[in-house]
Amino acid sequence: MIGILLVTHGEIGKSLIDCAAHILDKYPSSVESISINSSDNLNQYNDIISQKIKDLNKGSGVLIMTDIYGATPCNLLNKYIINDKVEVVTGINLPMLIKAISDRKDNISHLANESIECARKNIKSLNTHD
Amino acid sequence: MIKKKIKIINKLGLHARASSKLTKLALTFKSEIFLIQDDAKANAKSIMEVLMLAASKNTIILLEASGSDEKKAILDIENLINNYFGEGE
Repeated sequence: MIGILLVTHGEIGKSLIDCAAHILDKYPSSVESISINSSDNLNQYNDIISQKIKDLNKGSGVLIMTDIYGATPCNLLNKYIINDKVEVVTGINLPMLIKAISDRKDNISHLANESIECARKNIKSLNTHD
Repeated sequence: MIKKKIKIINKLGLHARASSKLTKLALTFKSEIFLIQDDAKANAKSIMEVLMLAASKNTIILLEASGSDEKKAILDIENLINNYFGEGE
């Protein structure tokens, strides 16, 4: 099973996991979050992120989701994408997370693409119904 | 292949938790199962596809199943919908 790691500002990641668990009526396994506070010493997060990736990788890899592209949590993740078992996607939302949790038998690159597509599809204006 | 029109009767429609229940049930069948509403067709085994139908109360959806257990799939999903997804209203 592909592990999922949310690396976000504040408690966004934890809250999204709680919401997904409520909807799916089950706390998802191998899904964890790390809360980043940019005023902390950022070096401390390298060990924390590395350890979480190691713990979550059961052989199928780890899909990491973060919130804002270019922000500190995202920038901390650049060094991990050289590992072909780690994919990082940005712009996390609840549909993206639920999609990823639900389809984890997939190949990690495919899962990353499907999760992004699902996240995008769910951004709509109710007024225009495009 | 079996097709059946079913009305969504619960107060909140096919909301997130209801969709999750439907998806979980659909995953117990071998058959391919789809929910069709107007031009939109959702795989009943994918919660996010089901949610994208945004089917509210009184929406009529077409349930379509094909496979070895298609009859029971339609019956059980119809029962779930007609049982208000276990929500009582």
